[in-house]
Amino acid sequence: MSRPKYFGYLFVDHRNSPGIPDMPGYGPGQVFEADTQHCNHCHVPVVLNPQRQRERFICPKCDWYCCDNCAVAFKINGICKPFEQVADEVQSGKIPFPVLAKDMRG
Amino acid sequence: MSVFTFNARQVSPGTGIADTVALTNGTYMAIQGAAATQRTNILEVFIQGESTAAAISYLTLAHDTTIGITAAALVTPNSNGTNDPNAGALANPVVVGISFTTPPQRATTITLPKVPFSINAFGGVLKWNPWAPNMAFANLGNTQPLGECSLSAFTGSSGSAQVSAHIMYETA
Repeated sequence: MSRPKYFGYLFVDHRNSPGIPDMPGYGPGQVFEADTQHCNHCHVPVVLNPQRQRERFICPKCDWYCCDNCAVAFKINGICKPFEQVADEVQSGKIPFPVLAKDMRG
Repeated sequence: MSVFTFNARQVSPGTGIADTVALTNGTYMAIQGAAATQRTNILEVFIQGESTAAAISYLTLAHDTTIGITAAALVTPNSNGTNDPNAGALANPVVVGISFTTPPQRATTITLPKVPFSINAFGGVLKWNPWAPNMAFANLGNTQPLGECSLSAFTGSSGSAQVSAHIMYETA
């Protein structure tokens, strides 16, 4: 499976609202639209900040985007266990309850 | 697999509740697995503000480290049903509720997925979709923490906020 060319979508419309003044894009009369990506290790949706300078982490084993939490965990334990694998193991009865890669010791 | 829509109308999420504190019944929407091997993908979250004055609500979709016990049956105008009338019934229907005998508690674990859906409930509208069903926020199993997720307001929200919301989900 190759990395996606498409993204999830977050739409927040405050055009007829005073919005949330301290949040960029959420102010009075503003519309916030953003792509969202999902972490392949924990499936958290991540709102992609277009102004981010730091490199986003692509797991070298599953070749997919990982959130910052899972990126740190991978650098510590070196374990790549995609959420799909966790789901397969739970649904096949191989493990009794889900354990994500970031909760495992390398 | 069938796509369901869990709809809650005119909910007051309240001033918000901290993580690992029991949520107040009637202020949240919870989706709980009904079997140890059940997986539920969240396909859409839609929130529309219905307050009559400015009211910021820090709504959050998160897993629960204490899952709700014994859900109260939904009553109108809330609902939970399949989008397609021809959809097959689930052998183990997902448990949904806005009220439990023992309410859920949102996870505080920093390594668990948590998605902020903050809006000003005075006219604000929010919608989120993943790009594919298998790339969504997902429940797995029926035990804490991955077996249940809830949409609830985090601490600091306005007590006067009122929203209607729906969560579309698909169970495998």
